[in-house]
Amino acid sequence: MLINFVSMHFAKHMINSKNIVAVLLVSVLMLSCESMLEKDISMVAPVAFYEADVLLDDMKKGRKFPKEQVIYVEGYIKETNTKNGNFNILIKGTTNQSHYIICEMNDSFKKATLGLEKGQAVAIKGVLKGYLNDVILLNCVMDNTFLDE
Amino acid sequence: MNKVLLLLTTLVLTLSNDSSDKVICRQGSVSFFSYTSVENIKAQNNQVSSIIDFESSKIAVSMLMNAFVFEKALMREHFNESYIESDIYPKATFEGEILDFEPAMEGAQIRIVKGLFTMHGVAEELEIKTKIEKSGSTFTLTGSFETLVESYDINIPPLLAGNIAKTISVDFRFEYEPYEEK
Repeated sequence: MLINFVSMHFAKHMINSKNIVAVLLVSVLMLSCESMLEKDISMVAPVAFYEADVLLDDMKKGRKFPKEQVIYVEGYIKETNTKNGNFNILIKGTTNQSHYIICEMNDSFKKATLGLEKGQAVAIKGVLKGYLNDVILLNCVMDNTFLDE
Repeated sequence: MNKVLLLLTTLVLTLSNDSSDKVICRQGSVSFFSYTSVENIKAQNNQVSSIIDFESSKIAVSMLMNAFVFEKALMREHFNESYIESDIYPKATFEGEILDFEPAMEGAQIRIVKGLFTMHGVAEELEIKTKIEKSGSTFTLTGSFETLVESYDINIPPLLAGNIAKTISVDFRFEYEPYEEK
């Protein structure tokens, strides 16, 4: 919205040095506003490491969690699907629960998720949004760096 | 032998009745659109949760407001921080009833879903025309409705008033499967 306002503003006025400074400021603002949801988080260090059971337990009990932050989760694949045009992985823990961790994968990781099978161990990084019936992670990427350690 | 068969049949029927009392949707989709001459804003939330109880025809929907995905980061930021205030009001919910619902009816049925939609701390009564399709044990609910921004006590700065439509269009699609509580 702000970008459109600025565009309209420039359409109405001649470009001068003040306007160039304004453009630079808006560009910096746009770059700083690019959040964890818009960028590839492969190289982003997670703020917390979880096993699926622990994360599910924490969320169900309403414990404090790193909302809107990148976290790392290890667990087992309950299901993969392509609902709503996205590739999703549902992770379960080792206990028999009816709650899961839903990971909506980043588009660039669709290929990496092909061939995954139910019950397979998996490690994923994603932006933690919160908890409904299940924990919700968006913009997820595969990260098996520590899986076998 | 016949008695054992009868007992097993009864048990299977009882268990299948229990599991089919409720259906759950873990990844429903809700999208909204705002059309103005200045700009169009679209956002989609693909992780909406919903449960239907067949016995009472009650339906509950819950969504995280910070899980809406926008085309531009700034739109999402304004939505969460300035308008919806998702830190204070993290969820939107709908609790209602599917009127004249026939869970056993295969194929499509058009029904009115009536209930309270709560967003930004404000509850609004809605009646939504909804298409319900049953195929085996799965149900799909689809529909759309319009709602007024001013109904939800959302403050829009005068500078940006032209960018946001007074009436927002909402589309939804939920796929349900049997709910097995463990």
